[in-house]
Amino acid sequence: MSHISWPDGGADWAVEATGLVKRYGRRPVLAGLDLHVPRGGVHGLLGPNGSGKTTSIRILLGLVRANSGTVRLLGHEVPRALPAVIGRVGAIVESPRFAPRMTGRHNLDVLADSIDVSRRRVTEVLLEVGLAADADRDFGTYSLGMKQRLAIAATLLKRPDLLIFDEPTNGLDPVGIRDIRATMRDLADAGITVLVASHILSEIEQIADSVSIVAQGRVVAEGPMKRFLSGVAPHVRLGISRPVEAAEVLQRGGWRVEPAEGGLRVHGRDGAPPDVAEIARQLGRADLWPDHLSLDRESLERVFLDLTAGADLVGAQGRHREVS
Amino acid sequence: MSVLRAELSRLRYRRRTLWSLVGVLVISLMVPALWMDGARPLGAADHAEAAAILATIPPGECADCRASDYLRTPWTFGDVVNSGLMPYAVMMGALALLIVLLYVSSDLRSGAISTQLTFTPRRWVLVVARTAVAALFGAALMATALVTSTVVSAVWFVAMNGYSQLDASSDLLALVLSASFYGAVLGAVGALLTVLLGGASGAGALLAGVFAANVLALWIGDQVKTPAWVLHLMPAQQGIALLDGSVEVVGTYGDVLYEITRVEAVAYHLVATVLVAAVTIPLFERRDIKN
Repeated sequence: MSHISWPDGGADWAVEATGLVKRYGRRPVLAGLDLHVPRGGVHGLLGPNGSGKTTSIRILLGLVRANSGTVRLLGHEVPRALPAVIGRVGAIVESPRFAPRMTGRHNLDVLADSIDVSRRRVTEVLLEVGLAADADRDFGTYSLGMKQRLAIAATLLKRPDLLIFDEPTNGLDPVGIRDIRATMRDLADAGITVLVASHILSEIEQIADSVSIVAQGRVVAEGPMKRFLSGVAPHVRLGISRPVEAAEVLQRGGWRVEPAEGGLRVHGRDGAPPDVAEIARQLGRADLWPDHLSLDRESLERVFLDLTAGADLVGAQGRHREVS
Repeated sequence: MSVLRAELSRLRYRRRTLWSLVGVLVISLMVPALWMDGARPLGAADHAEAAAILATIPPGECADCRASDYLRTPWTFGDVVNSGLMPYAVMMGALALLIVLLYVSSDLRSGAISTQLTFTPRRWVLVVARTAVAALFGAALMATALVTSTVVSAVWFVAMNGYSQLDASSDLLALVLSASFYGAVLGAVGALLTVLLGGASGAGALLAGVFAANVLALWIGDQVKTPAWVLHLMPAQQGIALLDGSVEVVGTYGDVLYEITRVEAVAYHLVATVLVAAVTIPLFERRDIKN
């Protein structure tokens, strides 16, 4: 594993998985996955589609059985001790799954009954997620954002210590994405450990305190987000019709320059972030006029690409990017 | 108990539950029209029909024949129970099974079972609770059907024949109770097979196949030559014995070769349910839930 490891060599883990192997028939999905999620804050599980994130989460929740490996959830070994700990764990796996011909409230009532939670608590969580007004509509008529909020309400029925979200913003509109991200951050700030699996770099970069990067069924790196980002300064993306001349000018000015798709990538001097205005001035003096000039912060993306040596993922701008 | 309560809530909240019961009620209100004509008392038309039949017999061919020989025999209330309500119970069993299969499979289709399992990680508890509720639903459907049709048949019978003709039928209570029990067994087995095979289509096909093979075997086979233990294992024979009170196979000389009693049928259905559960629960415990 390419490590960006945890400080002090270890922590009090909310989730600890060791050597998880899972095959569906002959197809390997997990190939010895080791995962550590510290207690408190938001932990991102980042990886491209098909890397094994959802299977890992299903194993944590006892929905899928690993061929080998061990999992501890809040200190309890699962699936053996899952009944003892499940009351402290809320989860949304992939899209929210409820009975479509039952109202949102009735769906929650059924779940509440199964864990001896009162109807009053159902009303409380519906209010908490802003669904009280639509609680008596059929789940099947909900928008995707409302379905996600109902799923969050379901997880809150338990008053959990650990919340697991799998691709929680898939298919949501920008407002819905902002709301869900804010909700996850609020829950973490309230002391709940939030594990969020996503293939969207910007999502993890925005909300996570720590991250595990998954590729081809393994965690290839994990640690606090600060350690991932340290030493990787922002850079300037430069689109220009005469890149060779522009590179010479900028290198003479002390910037480190490397070729990039559609132009150049310019790194700052002495570890400082590059000054966009100064770069523009230098180029202008040499009669070189950029088509595009922007300050980019895709440091986690760079780390990801370095570690996974090329995989499909959605980049910082939320578009699908093929990396070869 | 909490999971059982949750499953009861799920049954109550599904609109399909209510509509299924209403549908069965409506069918059961109408269906006695199929057999109640048999209980109609003899009238002028019957006598005229008998006379017409007698007239078709050539003179001298049957000197002792009387028109009364060709009169139909109006059903007693006991006949209504045995020849009207009992076959209806068999038909209703198939319908109740279909309704329960669709009820149980809807949760598998929607993926709601994944969500439920994140609340109820002991899968066997969920399967047992869901099976119990499916059994209750099956029993309720059968009881609704039989009680409704019985009431309609009784009122109809009294209207045609008078209250004094409404004789006691010891089979009636046994039929209603047996049909309810049969509904419960079909519901439980249907639920277990739906969970085992991951949907209603597989479970329905398996059950239909078993019953079709059973009926075909009885139809083309020689019951007299078939070993008795084979006939004792047949679900159709046992189902009829449960509803009708008994099934007898009579030999060439009128001797009873074997008999399936209602008590045996009850035991058979209980054992069958336990066996299906014993297969389903361990397999479901190990199954990967991927949707």
